[in-house]
Order: sequence, then C-alpha cells, then structure tokens
Amino acid sequence: MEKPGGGGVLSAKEAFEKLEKVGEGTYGKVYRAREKATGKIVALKKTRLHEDEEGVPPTTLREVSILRMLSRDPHVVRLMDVKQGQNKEGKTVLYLVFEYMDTDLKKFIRSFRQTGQTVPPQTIKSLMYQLCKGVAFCHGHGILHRDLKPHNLLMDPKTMMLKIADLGLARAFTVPIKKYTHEILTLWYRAPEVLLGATHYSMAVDIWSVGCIFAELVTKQALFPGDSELQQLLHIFRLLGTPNEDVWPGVSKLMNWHEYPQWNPQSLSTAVPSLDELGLDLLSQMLKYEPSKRISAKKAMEHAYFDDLDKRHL
Amino acid sequence: MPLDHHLFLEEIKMAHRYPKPLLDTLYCLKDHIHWEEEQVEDDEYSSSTTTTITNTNTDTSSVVFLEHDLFWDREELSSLLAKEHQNQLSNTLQKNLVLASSRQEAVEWILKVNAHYSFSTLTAVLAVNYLDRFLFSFRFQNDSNNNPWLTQLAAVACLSLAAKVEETHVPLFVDLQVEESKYLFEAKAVNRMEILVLSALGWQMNPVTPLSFLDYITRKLGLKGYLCLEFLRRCETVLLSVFAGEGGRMLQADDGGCVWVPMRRENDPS
Repeated sequence: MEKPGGGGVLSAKEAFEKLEKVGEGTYGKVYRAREKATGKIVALKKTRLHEDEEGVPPTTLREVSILRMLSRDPHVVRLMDVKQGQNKEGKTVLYLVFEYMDTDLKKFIRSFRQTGQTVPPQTIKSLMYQLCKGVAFCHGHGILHRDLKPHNLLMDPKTMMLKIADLGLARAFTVPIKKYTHEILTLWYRAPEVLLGATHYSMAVDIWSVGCIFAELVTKQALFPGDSELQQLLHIFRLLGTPNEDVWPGVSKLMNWHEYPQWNPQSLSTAVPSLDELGLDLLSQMLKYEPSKRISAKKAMEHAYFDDLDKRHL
Repeated sequence: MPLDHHLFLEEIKMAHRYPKPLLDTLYCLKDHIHWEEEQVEDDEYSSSTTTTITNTNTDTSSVVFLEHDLFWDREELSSLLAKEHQNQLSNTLQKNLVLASSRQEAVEWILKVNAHYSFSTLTAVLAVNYLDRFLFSFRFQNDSNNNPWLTQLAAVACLSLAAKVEETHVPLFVDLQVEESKYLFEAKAVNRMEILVLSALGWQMNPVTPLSFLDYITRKLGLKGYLCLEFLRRCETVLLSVFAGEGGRMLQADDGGCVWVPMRRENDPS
C-alpha cells in the first residue's frame, strides 16, 4: 500500500496505535492511542470528511483554530497535531491529536457519589480556581466556550490538574456579538438568557456554567437538572426567584419570555448547604440573572474564597 | 472619576502606536460622539431602536458594563499587536502582476458573494486574509502562474471557510458560487482545496484583523447601543471600500486605526 502524502510523512494510521475508544466528542469519535515513534499516550479525535458533502465541518474548523490560539495555557487541553489520513474506503479522515487526560470531572464527581464521600473542600477550591483561570484565559483571547460542563473538563487524578476541552461549540467574539442560531447545548449548565431566547451571547454564559459546576462539586448533584427547556427555567426560578424587570431589566422582552409561576428567591445555602460564606458569595455572583452583573472569570480568581489556596503550582 | 483617568492613560499608550495628528482626530471625534449621544436620547425612533439593541438604558448599568469589560485593558492591545506581527505579508504582489490581477478578481468576487448573502464584514475580512496568506505560502506561488483558475478556487474555499468560522448558516459549495466567474467548481474540488488551505495556514483561522482593533477602540470610547452599531457600521463600510478600491490594497490589521480620518470628515458638523 502506497503511503499517502509521500515520503517521510506517516499517515495517522501508521503513526498511532489505537488502544480503545473512550468517547464521542462534539463531532466524531475519540480514541486513546499510542504514538509509535515516542510511545506517548494521546487522545485521537477522528472526523470523517465526506468528499461528496460540504468539506470541513464548522465545529472541527472552529475547535482547531481556537485551540491553535489557546494552547499555551496549562488549563486548556493541548492540541498537538492535526493529521490527515484515509479510512478503509479511501475517504479522507482528519485526526486531531490531543494530550491524553485520564478522566473528567463528571467521572470524578460520580466516583465520590458512589463511595458516599464528599469532595475535600481544598480540592474543590483548587479545581474551581483552575477552571476560572482557564475560562479567564479563553475570554481574554476573545473565545466563548459555550458548552462548559463536567464532561468537558478533563482531569489528571494524580496531580488534580484540570483542563478545559471540547471547544467544538466555542466562538471567537467581537463587539457587538453577532446573532447566533439557537444551537444544542447541555441543558443543565445553560444560562437563563440562552433559555429565554437571547441570541446575543456574552462571556457571562460561560460564567453561569462555571457556577453550576461549582455547586455540583460541593453537592455531587446537578444544581438545575431540567429535562426540558421549560423545566430547566422552572428549576432556576424555584431557587433564584422568578425574574422580573426589577432584578433583570429587559427580561420580559426576551423572545421566549412567558408568564411563569412566581417564586421568591431562596437562599443559596438551601441548595448548597455545606459551602462556606465566601464560597456562597462567589457562587451568588456567578448566578446573577442579569448577564452584565455576573462576575467575570478574572474577577472570580481574585475573590476572597481563593485567598487561602496555595496557587504556586496552578 | 477613576474611569476617565484610566481611559486617558490608555490614550497615552496608544500615542506610541498612532501618530499625533491621529490622536488629535480621536479627541475631536470623541467630543462629537458625546454630542451625538445626547441627540439620540431626544429621538423617539432612536430610543426605540436603542431599546431593542440593549437590555437597559440606565447609566448605572452602562457604567457597570464598562467596568465588566475593563479587565481587558492592560493586556488586550499589546496582545493584538503581538499577534499581528505574525500576519505581516510580503511584497510578492509587486513582483507578480499576473497573481496581483487574479487576486484582485478573487477579492472582488468574495465581496460580491459576501453582500449577496448578507454575511458580516468579519466574514469578508477573514476570507481575504485567508486568501492572501494562502497565495503567499511558498508552494502556491509558482503554480498560480500556470493555473489562474486556482486563485478563484482558493477564493471559493477561503470564503467557505470564513463563513464556517463566523456565520450561522453556510450555503452549499455550489450555492456559494452565485456571482459571475469564469469557473464553476464542483463540491469535491472545493472540499480538497479547503484542506489544502487549512494545511497551508496551519489551521490558524482566527487571525488579528482590522476589526479586532475596532472592537478595542469602540469599547475604549464607551460607545454603546445604537451609537456603537452605527459607528461600527461606518467603519466597516470604509474598510470594505478600501478592499474594493483601486489596486485592491492589502490591509494590515492596524489599518483599523486609519479609519478615523475618513470618519472624522464624514462627521464634521461644518
């Protein structure tokens, strides 16, 4: 079989030994693999290009381009290479070669739920600081992630390092942020302005997701586990109170706004009982209804909740 | 007021990048915008438009918005300038008139299709950026003399890629080729050219563009709502005119700053 691409350049198939399939990304399958030349373990994300169709998928294009911009930060997963190959039928396949991380935050939280233990407070603090730092880095480079959730936060359980992954829905933004289609996003971590039909996203949609993840680390349960868009909103309103023009100017003009049952806000401590005062304050600032009032990732890093965290290795 | 002080410091920094006459223009325009902003508040139609554009009209919220964004200040401009260095283009066009001619045709085609589909200005800027970087990649230059259709095929691929990066709806390859051209390419050819372009550009598809600087400048001026959109619309119109102008001049990213001069003339009350 002749090598595609000519002398010296190994095809993806020849360069890597697939070990096992470990998941499905936004667009395509993900494998754990070993690079034959170095023995290094990597994650291969495979995207098939149908030559009779419309070329490189936008999600792949955005993810690679954005990761090219972001790969310097230790809290964003590192894209090591992009390789073209051909599958058995001769179709072109793209392989994104990522550093491999053993687990993700979803599995990490589940393991604590199964044993009945709580996640140690200092571990929560360290993970949250790393998450805020990674998000601040993305936002500082004009990138919205838009799909932050525990499954997309990769972890090394030995070092407790955390990295943001799966930027297939991420967008580079400029002012004013252009109107975007209503794309599929995981419901539980979705900001209320998105649920209510705002199409002009801002960095605040990621901060809302960070807040939901924060609460979930503490309680080991999703904070707002809705199974439809309406149920998602009602979950939020039951805890934070049904929003009105006083607490969120402009909310009643959003496209999906309706009459909703009127709930009064509850204290966050009822939902996250074991979190201390400083943590509750930070969480409340991440879950402000009005997007422009939500804390930024960079300001979150400066919050007093993180004061006693040893940040030298983060 | 701490905010004004901060803005002033930023303007001092910008003096290193832009010549003094431009800074004078900047001050003048700033005053003018302030007046225009007050005018907008008196107009019912404009107020209505403002309401639909932003969620709030209160001054307090606007200040908070500015505060929320200010954390970009120290690093953002230097970050843009550092990245811009990577985008500097060679002078190859001056030595290759055949390429210059086919490039200009390709740019004109991109602008027409962009207008046809009401794509954003950023989509057009990205597409031209990709095309220029691709044309100047080493391996392509020799081929283009023998195959002028390659430049047009590259233009189709570059516009498709730009639309995928920036637009929410991307037309099919065949539908994208709506404007008159000597060539019509089938999907398979555009597909392969997309991969070729991506490889040549190292998949770096979010470059610094003139619009990146306009983004920064707009926020420094504290423009918001309708005024922000109107300002950006005019700047974008000027940028596209430069693209379409005689010679199809290539934009450097910081040409966003030069937009101030024609903007000032346009807004002069006299």
